Amino acid sequence: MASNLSPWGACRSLTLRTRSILQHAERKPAAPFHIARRGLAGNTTSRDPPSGPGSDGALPPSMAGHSSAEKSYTIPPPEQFAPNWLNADAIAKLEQVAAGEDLYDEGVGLKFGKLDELPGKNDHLQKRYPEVIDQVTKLLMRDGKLSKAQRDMSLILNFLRTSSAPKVSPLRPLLPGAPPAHTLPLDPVLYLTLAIDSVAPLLRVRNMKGMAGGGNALELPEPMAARQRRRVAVMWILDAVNKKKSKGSGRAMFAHRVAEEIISVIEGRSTVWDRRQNVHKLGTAARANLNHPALLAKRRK
Amino acid sequence: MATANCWRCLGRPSTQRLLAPSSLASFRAPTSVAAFTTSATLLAKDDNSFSMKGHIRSGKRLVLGKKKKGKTDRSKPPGPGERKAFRKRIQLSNDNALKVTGLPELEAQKLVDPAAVGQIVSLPSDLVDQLRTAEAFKPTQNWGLFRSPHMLVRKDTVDFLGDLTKRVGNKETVRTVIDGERSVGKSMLGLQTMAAGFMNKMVVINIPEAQDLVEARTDYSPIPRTTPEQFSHPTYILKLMQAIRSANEEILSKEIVKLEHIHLPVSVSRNSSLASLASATKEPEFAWPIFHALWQELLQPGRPPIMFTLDGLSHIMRISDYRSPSFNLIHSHDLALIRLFVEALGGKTYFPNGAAIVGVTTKGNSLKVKSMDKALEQAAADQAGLPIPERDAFYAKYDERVFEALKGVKVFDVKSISKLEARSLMEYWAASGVLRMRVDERTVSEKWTLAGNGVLGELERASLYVSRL
Amino acid sequence: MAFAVRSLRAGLRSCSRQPTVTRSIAPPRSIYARRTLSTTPARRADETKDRSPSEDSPVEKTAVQPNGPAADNAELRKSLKNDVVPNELQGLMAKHNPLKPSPSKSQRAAEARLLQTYEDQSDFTAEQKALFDDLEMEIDQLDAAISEATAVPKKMKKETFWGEDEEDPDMLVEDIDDEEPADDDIMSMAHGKLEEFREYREYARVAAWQMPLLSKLTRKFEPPTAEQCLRFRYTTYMGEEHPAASKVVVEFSPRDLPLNESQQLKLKKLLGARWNPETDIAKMSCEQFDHQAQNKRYLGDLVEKLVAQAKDKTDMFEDIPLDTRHHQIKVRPKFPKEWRLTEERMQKLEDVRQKSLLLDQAKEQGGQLVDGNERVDRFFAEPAMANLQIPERLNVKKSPRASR
Repeated sequence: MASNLSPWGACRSLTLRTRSILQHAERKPAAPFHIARRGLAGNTTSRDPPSGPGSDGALPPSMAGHSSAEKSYTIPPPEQFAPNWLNADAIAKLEQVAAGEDLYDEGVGLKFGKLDELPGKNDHLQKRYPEVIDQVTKLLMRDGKLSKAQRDMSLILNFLRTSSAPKVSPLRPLLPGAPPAHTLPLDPVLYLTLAIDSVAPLLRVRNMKGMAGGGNALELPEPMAARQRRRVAVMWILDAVNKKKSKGSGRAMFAHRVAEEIISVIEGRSTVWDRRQNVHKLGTAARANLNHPALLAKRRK
Repeated sequence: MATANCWRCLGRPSTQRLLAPSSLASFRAPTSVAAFTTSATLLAKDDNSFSMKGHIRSGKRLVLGKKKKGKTDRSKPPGPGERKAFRKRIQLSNDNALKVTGLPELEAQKLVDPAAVGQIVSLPSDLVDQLRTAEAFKPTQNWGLFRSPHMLVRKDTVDFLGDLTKRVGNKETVRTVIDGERSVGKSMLGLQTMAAGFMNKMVVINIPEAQDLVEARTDYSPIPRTTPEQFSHPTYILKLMQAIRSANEEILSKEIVKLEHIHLPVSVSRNSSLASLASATKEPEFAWPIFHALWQELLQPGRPPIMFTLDGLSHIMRISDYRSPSFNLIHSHDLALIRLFVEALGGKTYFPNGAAIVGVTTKGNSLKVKSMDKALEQAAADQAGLPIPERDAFYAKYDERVFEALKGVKVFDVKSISKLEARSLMEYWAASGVLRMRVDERTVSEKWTLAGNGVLGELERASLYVSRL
Repeated sequence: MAFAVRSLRAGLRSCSRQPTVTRSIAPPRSIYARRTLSTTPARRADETKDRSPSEDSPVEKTAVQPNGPAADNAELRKSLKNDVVPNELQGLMAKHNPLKPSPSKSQRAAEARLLQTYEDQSDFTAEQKALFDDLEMEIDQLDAAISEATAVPKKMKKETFWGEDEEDPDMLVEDIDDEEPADDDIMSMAHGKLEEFREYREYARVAAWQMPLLSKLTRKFEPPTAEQCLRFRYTTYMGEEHPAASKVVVEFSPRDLPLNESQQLKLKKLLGARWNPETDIAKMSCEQFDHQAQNKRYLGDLVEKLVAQAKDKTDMFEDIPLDTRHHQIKVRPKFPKEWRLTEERMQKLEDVRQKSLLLDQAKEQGGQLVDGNERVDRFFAEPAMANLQIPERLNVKKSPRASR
């Protein structure tokens, strides 16, 4: 078979345009997105957006506004449904909803009955532990030994369960709305979560290299997400735990130390609180840097 | 220049060399250098070198070199035995857990009554003390989660203990091995057996961990005038004897020494009680003779029946890690205490007053002993009236002594619990506030199924722990 | 006269040419019939050719048309015999069997003499002379062809460093013409695609027209009789050379052999790891010989020897246990029959659920249903709890019987 491989063959697919296709050159400014500004359907107190010449987010005045404003508003008569069986069905359903009933019969077509709590968007079969437990377990893990970390985790919780109720220091208040301390040992997950969330810093200080001028870093406070905050708190707690000396041996020793540290966090004795305070102080001091000219210049770009 | 004794020095060291003052360099010889070797010499580890110790976290500055060495720990190290005490600590109550009211107390009758199956009973405090002294509680069991020790009377308990107490009452010797799957409650049944022993006025001797005796952890010494040579564990036996004494004080103080003990290193008068015999010495070196004398006394007719239990049977069915003076490994059955148990289990010892010899196997911490497995298999088949399985013809390492030790024993297979038992157990957990869920048929069924159709340990793991243990 | 003599000489010369041994003897390997699929062993024809194994080495692939010149010789001889050659010459030519060894010196002298007398005596017509001329020319051409074919094969060119001279068969790219692209032709890839379709269609034709004919070759399955207790397996690689092509495997069950119980047991012990305790089938193979038949023979003999040994009563190996360590019996769990959801079982499950629901309801009404959360909440909700807690704990520590 003779083959005709030649560069000319490829040229056939090329199309030549003599005129440029610059059709988007004259782009109109996007129309304001009305729907986004609408209040919620149930919100009866929503106001119109402020309209004035000075305000930035004003809607352009509507062209038809003059005539319609003069007209008095008349309530349109309710639409008559045709006496159709389809409509009857739909109306029945609507009435059902209005009466607060469930639109669909419970359990019809379900093999194992209805769930009390529907799984969320990101939930899956393997998510069986509370979120904090999951995260802390992974943070306890060393060398990829998850099973060991899980054992440590459950030993920590058991230790929290069996140790006597903590005495919360008024100098180190826990999260607002925390349950009374004497109820904590019977809910070790809440105990752990409360300790971690209470001691977690609200912000971190980010160093912008060389931005302060003269090679100095510009310190900027930055808020953190919940998961990030918990991670920082757990790492601080683990640092404190690593500095502690182990008094016993065996597999429960590490869990024992961690649990003791968590109790001391709740009781306000832990050094982790100082770290938190330091970060917060630094963040407060660095608040002024948010209006630093270098940063503003960068933002303007 | 050729020396005169050049040729001689090939044959033997020259006198000049021997007489010469040994230089410092010659002292380097003791660092063991093999005369002939084909392997390369390994240098000792340089202590100054940086070693990867601990976990290295990102964002932390790595400090290399000698600066790091400056930090020394000045705090007091834990005292001897303190760390082990922490590991072995047994906590039997939890003040945070709720008090469960309305549960009956354990009586001797409850353990053999079929109507009591599925009941949770509380342990009376003096029994708890006795069991604690006998080391019947294990650190891995979940006693520490609840307000006070309670336990479930299960069907296996009633079956096993009903048979046992009846036969011991008839002055028979019960020789049983408690076997079963992992974490199915074998040690717990052992504890219940001991409880029955204490409540039925038996002399209870318990070896809580057989591996302590064979893994060369405690001291040992040869017993003179024994063939084949036997070995005792002086310190261990002394402790055991003290435990026996304090656990069975009520019985032992009533019994009076009957035999002449002229060979004993301490003087024992004829009219003293067995309790005083058991506490006759505090010297480990005299522990074995006195323990042996006590054992002989207990074997006399008219004494209370003996209950001898041992946990971790597979550990004593192998060659131990101890060495004889000729540096041979000692077989476990040549260790005197184990020999005592093994002879009792194998039916070589005659008990005139009836006895219960119970060995409990472990599955979690045990090694595979093929001889024991086969012997138990054969015993179980013999018990069920099935054809006895033959030994593997091509396995050469069968230990005859193991077969001898397990000859004619009964094997009690601990099964999983029923849903009814699981329900009452879970209701107890929920009432204690540890299991914070509604206990109805659905949840019980769910946990029971998750626990491999009612394996007790798995049921605990499935319901008591948030994360898996 | 001279041309006649010359032509005769040429004829003789061509007749006397012997095909060399190297090229004529070895037939290509593919000549003896190989069946594509067969369960019976290949039978070889009677060994008339007496091939030695060294003869079918692949060196002799240079042989081209091994019987070509010989056939030509025969034709020529026939024409000569019919037309012109007198009797005495025929005798001479008969002596010149090309397969016979070349004549000796005295014979050649006699030939020359004969030719001389023949030239002297005969007179040919012009037609005959022309015929002779043609013949001679043909023979010359043949000669050239033969000499080319019999010549020692050319040596392969010494390999160049980069292998530039070699043609790479895998390389699909062909030379690009310097010429302008031909507008009337499709591109090479399209040609390739077309070729592919041609191939598909070729096989489709085969499937449609030729494969149905295979049904003519079907044979009815006959189960093996009691005498045929050995089952042999042969392997064919569809005409390809393969080192395992001569391998033969035999399978048999000791039960099928004419042995009693103890002899069977001995045979199993003798068979060792070749015996599968799960299926009770022994399996042995042999590929130590070059031919299937030899391997099969060996296996047959071996089985016979084993049977004879098993029957030998001098040592029945009673002290040796049957060894089955080589085989691990795999237990494949099957779905239990009891778990099948039959109507009755569904009914039963439904009943159980109903019963448990009723039980729960009864317990709930009786206030016996235990709810951990509710218990804890109630415990902490009790107003006097905070005050009561401490003395109660002390109480518990004193006597744990307080729980009664």
